[in-house]
Amino acid sequence: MRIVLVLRRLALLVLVLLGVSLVVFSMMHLTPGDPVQLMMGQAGHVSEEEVEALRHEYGLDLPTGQQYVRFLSGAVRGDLGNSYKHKAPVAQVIRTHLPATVELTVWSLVLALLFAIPVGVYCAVRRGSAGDWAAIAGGLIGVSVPGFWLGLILMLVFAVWLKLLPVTGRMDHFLAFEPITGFYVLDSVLHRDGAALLSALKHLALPAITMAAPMAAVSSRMVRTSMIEALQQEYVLFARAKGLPEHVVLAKHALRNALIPTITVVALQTGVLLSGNMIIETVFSWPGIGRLAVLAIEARDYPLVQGIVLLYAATYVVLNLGADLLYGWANPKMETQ
Amino acid sequence: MFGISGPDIRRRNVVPLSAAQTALLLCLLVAPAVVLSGCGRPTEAHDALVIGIDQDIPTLDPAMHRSRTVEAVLRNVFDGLVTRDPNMRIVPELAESWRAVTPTEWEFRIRAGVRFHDGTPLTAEDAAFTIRRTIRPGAIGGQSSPRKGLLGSVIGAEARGELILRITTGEPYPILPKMLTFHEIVPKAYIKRVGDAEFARRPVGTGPFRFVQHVEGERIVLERFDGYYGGAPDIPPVGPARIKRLVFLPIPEVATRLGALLAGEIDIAEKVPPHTMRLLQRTKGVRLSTCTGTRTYFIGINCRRPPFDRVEVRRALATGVHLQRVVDRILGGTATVLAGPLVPAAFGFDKGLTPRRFDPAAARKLLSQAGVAKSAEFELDCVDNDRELAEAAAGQLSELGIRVRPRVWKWDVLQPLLAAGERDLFLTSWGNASLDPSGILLPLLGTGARGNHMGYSNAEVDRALERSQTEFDPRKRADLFVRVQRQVYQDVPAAFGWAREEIYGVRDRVRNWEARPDSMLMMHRALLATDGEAEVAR
Amino acid sequence: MDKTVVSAPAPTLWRDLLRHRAVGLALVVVALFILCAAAAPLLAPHDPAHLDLDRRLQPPAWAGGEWSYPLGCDQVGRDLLSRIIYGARTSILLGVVIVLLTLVVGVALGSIAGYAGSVVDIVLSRIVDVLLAFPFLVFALGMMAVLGPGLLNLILVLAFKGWVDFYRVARAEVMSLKAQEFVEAARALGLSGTRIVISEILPNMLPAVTVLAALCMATIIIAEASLSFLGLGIQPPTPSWGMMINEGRPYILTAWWISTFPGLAIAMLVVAINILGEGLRDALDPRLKETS
Repeated sequence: MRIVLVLRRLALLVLVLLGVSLVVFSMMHLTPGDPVQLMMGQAGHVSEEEVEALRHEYGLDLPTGQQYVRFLSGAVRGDLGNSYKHKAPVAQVIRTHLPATVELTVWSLVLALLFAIPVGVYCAVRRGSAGDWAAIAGGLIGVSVPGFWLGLILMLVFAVWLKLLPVTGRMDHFLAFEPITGFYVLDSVLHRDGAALLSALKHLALPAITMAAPMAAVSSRMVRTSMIEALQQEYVLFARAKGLPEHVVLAKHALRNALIPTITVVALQTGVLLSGNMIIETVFSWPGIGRLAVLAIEARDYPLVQGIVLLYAATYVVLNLGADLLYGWANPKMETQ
Repeated sequence: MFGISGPDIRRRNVVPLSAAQTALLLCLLVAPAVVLSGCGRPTEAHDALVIGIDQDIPTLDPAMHRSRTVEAVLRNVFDGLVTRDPNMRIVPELAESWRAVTPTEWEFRIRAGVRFHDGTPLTAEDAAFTIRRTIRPGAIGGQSSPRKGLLGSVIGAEARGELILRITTGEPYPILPKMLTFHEIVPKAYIKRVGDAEFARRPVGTGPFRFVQHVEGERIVLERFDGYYGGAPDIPPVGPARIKRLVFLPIPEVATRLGALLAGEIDIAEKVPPHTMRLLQRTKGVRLSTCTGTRTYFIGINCRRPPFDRVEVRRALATGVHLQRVVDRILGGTATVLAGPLVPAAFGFDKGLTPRRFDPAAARKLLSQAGVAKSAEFELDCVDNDRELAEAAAGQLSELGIRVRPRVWKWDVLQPLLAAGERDLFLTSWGNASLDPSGILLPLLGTGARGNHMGYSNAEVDRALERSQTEFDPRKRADLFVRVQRQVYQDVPAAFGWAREEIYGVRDRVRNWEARPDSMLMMHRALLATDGEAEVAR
Repeated sequence: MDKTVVSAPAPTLWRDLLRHRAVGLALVVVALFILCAAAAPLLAPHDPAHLDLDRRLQPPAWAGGEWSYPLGCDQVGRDLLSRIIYGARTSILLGVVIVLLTLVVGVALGSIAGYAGSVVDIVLSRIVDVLLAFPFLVFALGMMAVLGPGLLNLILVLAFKGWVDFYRVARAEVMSLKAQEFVEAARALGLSGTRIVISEILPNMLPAVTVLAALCMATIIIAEASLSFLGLGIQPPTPSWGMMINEGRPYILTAWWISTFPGLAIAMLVVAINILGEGLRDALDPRLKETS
């Protein structure tokens, strides 16, 4: 049953990717702006022939349809072309920027859940109390200010004034740290380098908190709602009736069921985070894929934009699938429906 | 899209998780928090000079970019045949001397005893290879260099013996030495051995610093090259670099770059906005370094679109905008108002022209004489960085009786519209690091030229510019450019203009380094004082 | 799934809603902001578009400024307080217009997909998949590049992706309501599909959609700020909070007030709207009603 589901969803993935590739390709090529002119900038000593030669080299002089076929046939073989700006294969450029984004996203998720679960449970149990509303309001601050503003304020307070945390980057440059996987926390563990680990975590703190804030707010609401529902279920009432202590009822019976929808939402949110983090990446000079995407669009670096968007789309679909499987794993009944 | 509405989760009869599953979930969630709680150690002192630059460095191949920031960084790893001293004079670097053998043939004598970072000696063949690689299509791993235009009419280069380089141009090219400042010499043998792609990842040059590490978007680490020949003899002191380690950190956000400077994470922050100068002056341990840049800012006027096709209207606009006041207020006086497109340091700058005097009454009169309706509405385009300037200028123009509204664009969106001649007024700029008018007058004012978004066309200007291209006599060349500047002043294709100061925030411990007009970050001669020395110096 | 049909009479709804002081407070805050927006010309001490270069970066009154410009002036010397008051107009209007637009389109298409099912549903759902899989900010940047900056384009970009949320809720609601007895009854009476959707299903969908609309409104106000960051915001001289925060970004170390006050305004309004949304959810959703 589950294998059929996975296969069907994978087929869907291909379909969605095809649709996304068509959308991104036509969007980029409908967009006015010439990559070569933008590369040359507002400066002199640029010859006409030079511009034409580069346009030819990038295949920009071909009819649009032919360019799409070219791009698609390359993509099928796993060749996404060369980035105009980086002068290197798109896959390689993405690979060097991806770990930073994934690392930041993962830690933000962790932070968000660490906040959301206890707060959500508390609010559900003390539903309607002053504490509940305070937590709602407090948590809401996270979704209620623009991320870049929150990031700048946090940076100002914790890095510039209090000097507790670093302002910028992923790692202290003087540690002469050689990345292995590109995930710095993991890499410093692999290097058995305590200083590097500390540095990596310190650099992660502010961007991760900034990114976690909206997520924490949304998922604490989610936990609260699910907990309230779970607490009304018969098995919880039954457990209470049996005279089990309240904390056991909460942890054993209610919470672990309430967590499932939360985790599903969080998995889906990850897709949103991966695409929404370009702003936070800019504020904290975090060399990730979001910033790369913005710069690629501004430079009309078509191959790079297409590559990044396809990656996003694939991630989104896969996470969706993952969420469904997770849900199915927790609710075997769903599949039989 | 906003990520609030979750997936379509409907309550179903949930089967409780097993205790083990729950425990596992919780452990996964809590473990990282325990680790995180150990944070909070202050940053350590270090002996590297760290520079916060405003953008990422996409490639380390000096022939594969058109970015001044990339050049500013790479100039520390690579040297050129010639370079500029702090006053922008052209001086020999890897070339000892040069001469034009014929109007189309140049001979450069290469300095002896120079070594690349991998130990191979520099020869004329490396220099010839560098030039051929730049001008030949597809010469860099199948890709072409976007810096070919920076070699104008150069058509070939070859080594005539170990240390003699012969460069051939298709037509007389008087500015060749100036243009060679933009080209860094690369090692032929190394590139042939490892390939162009690997060279772009681990570059080898003859510069004062050798490449150590590049983590894309994050940092570039360089180290002193002890075998350095000493650099241009005309710029003392000559010798190896005086700092051991040089680090560049891309920090695109202005506030973050400043924050990093204030927190002591970086020693130099480039492109600091004028309004922060007072804060930096007040801050202990930080100073400012400024100098007038080579970029000209101006309000372009679309000469093809009525009513701007009439010169009186254009003159009215240029007379009715108080640029001095705008730059004094918005840029805190860190800009020089100009009469034309050239900055004072440029070759052929016409000292005889003075910036147009602000005269709103005259401007209003010109407008009403030209019959421009009082209710006429125009848009003044700009990019986000210039929004304050555009808003201020639009405010002033609106006081002339017409309505001018600022419109803020992203450059990649605005550029094609300007190129298509579809806009009215636009606040923009043009960089000219060569300081030779060929880099700005030609592309900005020549009929149909690449940067001529004003649609300006004057046959006399075109003729003079054409002649200047091949004129070898500097005095005659300068005369041609003066003639162009006077004509342009009459025709007013734009409200010129101003040149901004490049402002850097610098920690006191950085010695012997000042801002340069070409915004190169040459750190060869800089040194780092110890903390004690920096304290005494104050 | 047993879903009780809700048709809470209005007085009950208000009582439920106001049971918590926080919701009441939120309601007051939202009302105040709407009042600000409506009466902006009466409340604002200065013309929000009038710039005075001599007042550039003038600090708030208590930090060395003047009381006639209580919150100080921005980077071209405009009165910050007046701009915040007028900014409420832009932000609220933008939110309302986009929510209405996305709500109508989303609910209509969602109902069609949910009620018709089969091919229509499959086609619409695949389109939605593609939209969701497309990173929003990349999409926004691309659309802006095609359309150019401006208010109308901003609305289109925000609405173009926003309708999906309503689509999904509407579709799910219709699908579950379709099987309910009262709908079956209506069908047995010979009512047409359109009639059934409009008269029977839509009213029952209202609670879920109302809650979503409140949350959507909040996110749109924030999204406008995010788009401003990327240079896709509202054009000057129209003041909008998102744009003001963004304009103040480079000044955060030297003139903190430029982005801080609009930031606080956004935070207050969005928190209030969110609390209102939560209150609505609790009041409207029978599943969350306390059993006791």
